[in-house]
Amino acid sequence: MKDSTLDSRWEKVANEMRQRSMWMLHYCTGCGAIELPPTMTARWDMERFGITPFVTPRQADILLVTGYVALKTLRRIVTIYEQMPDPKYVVGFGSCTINGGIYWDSYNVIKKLEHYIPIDLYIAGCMPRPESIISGFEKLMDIIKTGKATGWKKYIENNDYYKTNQRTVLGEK
Amino acid sequence: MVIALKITLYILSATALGLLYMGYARKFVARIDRRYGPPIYQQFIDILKLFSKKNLISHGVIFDLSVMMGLGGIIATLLFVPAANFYSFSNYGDLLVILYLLMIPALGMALGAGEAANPNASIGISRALILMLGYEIPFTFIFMAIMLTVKSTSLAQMAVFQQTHGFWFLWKMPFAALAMIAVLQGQLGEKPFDIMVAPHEIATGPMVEFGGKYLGMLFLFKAISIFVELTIFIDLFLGGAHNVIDLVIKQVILFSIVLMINAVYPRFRTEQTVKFYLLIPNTLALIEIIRVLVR
Amino acid sequence: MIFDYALLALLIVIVGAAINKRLGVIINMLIMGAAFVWFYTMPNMFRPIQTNVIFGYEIVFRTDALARLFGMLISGFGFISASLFFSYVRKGRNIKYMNVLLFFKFAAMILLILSYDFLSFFFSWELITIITFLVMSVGEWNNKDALKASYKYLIMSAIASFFMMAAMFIILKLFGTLKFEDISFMMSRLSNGQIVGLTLLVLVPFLTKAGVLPLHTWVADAYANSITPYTSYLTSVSSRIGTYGIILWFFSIIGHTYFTKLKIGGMSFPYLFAWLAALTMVIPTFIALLQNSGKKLLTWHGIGQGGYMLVGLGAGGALGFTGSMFHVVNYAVYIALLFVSIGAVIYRTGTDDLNELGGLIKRMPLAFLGTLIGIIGLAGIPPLNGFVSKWFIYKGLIGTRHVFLADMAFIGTLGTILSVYKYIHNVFLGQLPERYKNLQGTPKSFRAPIWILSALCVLFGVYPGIVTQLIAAVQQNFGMIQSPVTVHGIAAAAGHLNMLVVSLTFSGTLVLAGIIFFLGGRRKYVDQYDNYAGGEKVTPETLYHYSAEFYAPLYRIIKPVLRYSVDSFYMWTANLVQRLSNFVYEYFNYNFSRAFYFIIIFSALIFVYRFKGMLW
Repeated sequence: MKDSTLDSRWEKVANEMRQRSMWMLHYCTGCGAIELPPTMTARWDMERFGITPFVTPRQADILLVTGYVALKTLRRIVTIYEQMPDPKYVVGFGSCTINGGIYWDSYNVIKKLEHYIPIDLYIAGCMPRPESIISGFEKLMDIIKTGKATGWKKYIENNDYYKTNQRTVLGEK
Repeated sequence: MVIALKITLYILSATALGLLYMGYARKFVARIDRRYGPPIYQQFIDILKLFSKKNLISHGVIFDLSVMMGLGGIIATLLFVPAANFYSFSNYGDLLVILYLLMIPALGMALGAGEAANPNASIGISRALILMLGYEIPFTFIFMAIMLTVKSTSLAQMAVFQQTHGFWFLWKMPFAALAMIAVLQGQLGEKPFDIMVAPHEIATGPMVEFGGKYLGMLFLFKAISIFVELTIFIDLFLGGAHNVIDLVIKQVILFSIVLMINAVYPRFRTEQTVKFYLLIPNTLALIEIIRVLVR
Repeated sequence: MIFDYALLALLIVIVGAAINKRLGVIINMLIMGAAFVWFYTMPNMFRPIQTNVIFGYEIVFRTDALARLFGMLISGFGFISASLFFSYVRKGRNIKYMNVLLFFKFAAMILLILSYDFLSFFFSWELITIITFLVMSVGEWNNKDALKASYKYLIMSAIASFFMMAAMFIILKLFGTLKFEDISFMMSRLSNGQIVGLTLLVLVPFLTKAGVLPLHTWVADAYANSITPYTSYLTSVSSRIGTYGIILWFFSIIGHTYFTKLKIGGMSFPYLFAWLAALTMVIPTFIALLQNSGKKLLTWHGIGQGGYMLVGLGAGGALGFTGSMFHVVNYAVYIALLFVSIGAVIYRTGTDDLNELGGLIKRMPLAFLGTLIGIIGLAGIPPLNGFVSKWFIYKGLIGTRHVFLADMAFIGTLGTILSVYKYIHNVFLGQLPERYKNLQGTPKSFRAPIWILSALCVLFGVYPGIVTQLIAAVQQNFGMIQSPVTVHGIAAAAGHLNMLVVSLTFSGTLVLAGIIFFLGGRRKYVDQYDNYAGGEKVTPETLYHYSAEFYAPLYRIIKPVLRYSVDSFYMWTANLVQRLSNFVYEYFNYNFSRAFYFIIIFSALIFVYRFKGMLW
């Protein structure tokens, strides 16, 4: 019914809209979250980019994994991620999501978050200052606009891979 | 045919104005906070993004019907409110009809939120209904006072009365106007009366399971309800409006007053809200009624 | 002749019920349907249909617009309530007796509204009292609450009937006749104080039956503890017999012109009466908010709505009269609908405890639809029927400049919206408990009443003229000004109403919103366990439902006021009398010397008083 060019044109317009109105989920998982309030408030005003915090996953677009991910947290993050509607983007915040950060040798912490949920963007730092956060969001806006932020599609297509990894690391989920 | 076109234009412009006001609200509050804030057209982008969301979930037929009832109800109310001397259907229903029509969308969304089977939503709805009880009581006293003076229940005739007599009820009935500002604050759901959407306490209350296009329709509902409630105030106290420019200027000034109170106050708890409404706006409105009856 | 018909019909029903339970119900429904048709084809004019002479007193039966309205109400709702008995046939209750009793009550009420003289009126009134007591207590031998409540009803009604008997004797003494026609001519001879005194005497039984403050204490327990076919009939029609009596007394016997001029203690009597009705509108509604039992919540609303029916009579002018009488009909429709719906829920789950139920929309969608339409009507939200009658009442009260009464009416509506939302949320919305997972749907004989009554709600909302034109005929009969009603609303100078436009607008915008809705992305339905819980998973074992103490903040504000209740005052009086009589019993118990002393002293006193003159 829908012409594929019409579809892709609508997708282009939609991506333009999505990049200027990103709603982050206010779900602070680790110590990196402390840098979010300064970013949201008056000094480094994040709202002028259209980014505001929303509380429930049903309303949010971006899941910020702020800081280290313990096993308990991973279970909740996966539930929350699956409750978000598509298209959704995950931003790995801080070095702990890249390779474990300062908890690189802990028995309790996930080292590479990429095995469990697809990540669109990393913001390195321990913890990243508001300037880097805003620069990271600008990069995210870029890749959304050009249609390269396809983490959610990866999750649907490679669902088995992610589910197997999750089940293995969490015991029986 | 012309009427149908006019009505469509009316609905579209009310929606657009409402969305602009919501963007204006964010900008205004941001400037009070000494920061920049999003652009004024931000809400349009938000709604387009919401409608482009895929793979949504729904909890049942009533869940779907509730947002339709919400948006449909507020558009129906819009058609009965006279704005800038444009009467779409105001000849067929008066202020009482408008007041009751305003309750249809609230009830519709309460049903949808109830079907979501989430206690955050149920708590939010119970608080919202208690808040509604709080602000409707002084509201009845206020419009009774005006109905007694104008000797009619039609909102259009109230606006025309002020225009023909050359005064506004804003200074003829100052107590009622003060009470109405408090009522308007509650109707719009701005601080200090935004207990129903307390994002950090109850996960945005009734909207907890609404996402994607449901939330988009709720935003449209919010936009039109801002327009409707501001217009009701203007018709009651600010002498209606002669044309669209007049209407927009009055709405912006009124909304700015509301936003200034919103930016400064924290949130009242539910008991504090009801006690406040039962004491201060009620007394003011009662003083006004007694003044009218004695005259 | 009427008595013959009634007795014949009763005999047929008894015989039918004795043969076969279902046959009895069918005969019941047929006779009630025939009565409905007879009332429908009746002309609106005042017309005596029978006169007899019994014990030297003339007995008159008449038909007019008022009798026609109430007659259709009584027979129509009797028909619907009787049809509910089909579902109870297999449940093992003694349906035969209950069926016959329902018919007997119906017949007694028809006798009442047809009678136009005090003797037959009083006879029918007493008959109704006794039959209602039987209705409330037969078949409930195990239910202590039901027995206690019906006993309370009997005592209060019996005391009230003495008041009516006193009024009857006074009228007989003053006028020498008991026919209402003659009494209404001769009322103008009495002074203001005498008429007010008679009115107060006569109002006690009427207010008791109608359930108006402060004589309402028996209503909630008595109605809530009966089975569904009875409850729907009792709440929708039975209380309105009191309203009928009030209308008859105020407008037919005293007459409209004289009624508006009555004064008590310098203040206008209709205005005080309207204030009594206003208190009845507000206070029971807020008591209903705090109930934990579905049936009690609805019954308390019934008491509250009774106030709406009286406030327009007292202070509303022509529009208020139309609104109040229209409210009688509308209220009957939606309260019957609500009780049929909750009857279906109780039939399947066995409980109406609001803290135990939840999420039943998934298993009983038809009961939900009935409840939804019922509560939209009860709360008075357009475009259904409750809104139109309330609108008339508001217009009437504002038109006569009775602002505070209109405010009380509005506050009553607000309280209603709050409590009906709590009701529908706790029963149908929210989380479905595990034990109700496999509940069956609405029982078969409950389905047709729900459809019919919902259709009536919508019909009376869009075409209120069907009923309001009959009410205009009633006003004409009483010699009052008629309200300018049209088929769809009203064409008054100070604010129009056209329900067709309102309904069509709302439907149109609903379709528009639907179109916008389907422009968005696709959605799929998930079950109730896929819910936001802060990252946790909701399982069937977790209770993820907010229903107990639904309006906790409001409860905390209202709680200090709840200590005072009329019922506690009555109970205190009853206790006092009981203690007094116990004391007297104990004092004289087997103590002959004391008794002897008292007899001697009292006889001496009487002797002295009687023969005072002769002693000195």
